[in-house]
Amino acid sequence: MKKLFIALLLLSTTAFAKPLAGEVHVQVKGMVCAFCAQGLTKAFKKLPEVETVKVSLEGKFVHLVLKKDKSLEDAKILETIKDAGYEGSIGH
Amino acid sequence: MFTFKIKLLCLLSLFCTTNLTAHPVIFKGGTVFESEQSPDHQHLSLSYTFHHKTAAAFDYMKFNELKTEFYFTKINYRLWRQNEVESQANIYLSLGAGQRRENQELSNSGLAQMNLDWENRDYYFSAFQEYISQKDLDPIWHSRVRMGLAPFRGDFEDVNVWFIAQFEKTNGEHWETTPLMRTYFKNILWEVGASLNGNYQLNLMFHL
Repeated sequence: MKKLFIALLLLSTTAFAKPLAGEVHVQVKGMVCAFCAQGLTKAFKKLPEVETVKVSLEGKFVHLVLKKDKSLEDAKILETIKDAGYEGSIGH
Repeated sequence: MFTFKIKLLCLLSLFCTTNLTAHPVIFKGGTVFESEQSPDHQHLSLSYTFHHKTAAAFDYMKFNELKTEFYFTKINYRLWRQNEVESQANIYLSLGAGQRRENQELSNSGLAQMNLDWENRDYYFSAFQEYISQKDLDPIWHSRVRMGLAPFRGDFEDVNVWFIAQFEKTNGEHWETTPLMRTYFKNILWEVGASLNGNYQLNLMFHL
């Protein structure tokens, strides 16, 4: 029973591991200027996995909707945020 | 000669405005085109951020009254950045080299700039120091401080408006005050203002 529980736990961990699929919500630090943050939408729209990008200064987040059957690595998302000058943390 | 230098310093104090309308380094892969127009001069700038901390830029300046032009190639480097939930702060260093042309004569010129800023969604502050070397002429030391206030909080898709008070001086000159209104929408930013001496100032910038 214990082994089964551990196996299920490992399986669930794998199932919820990266890459992310569907929708991704990223909290972004330092995003206070709409003009400066234009780069985020441009950079994310360049990624073939991304369908739409929503940016909110009030909510301090970037919300990505991925294309059907596409996924995106955490590292790639955070790198894109960093390339725009910000710091991001992904909410799963 | 003294009057000539004073005029030159006054004119040069104007062109630096474009260096402060935006961050010298933007997002990786981003290109910025900037234009500044005033009764006395024109300034065009094109920069490309090829690394998240570094951009390469080309500046062209023309001073109508003196019939003098400058061409600078420069590197902008972000020395430090602090991202907070409600604010951000930056320090930038720019180094450049170029040519000064007057009466069809070319001479070498060097450029060094230090820029620091802090902003949140309501307030904005920046300080700027610049050094320009000129062959057979005294170097130019130029300082500028800007303070801005947003009358309302615009979000990402909104038109954003800022009221900015700009104070600047060149070498031993007095501080000159210029109120400006900055507006931006999506990837286009423009500033309109006039110094207390009455010279208008129009700045335009967009990200490509």
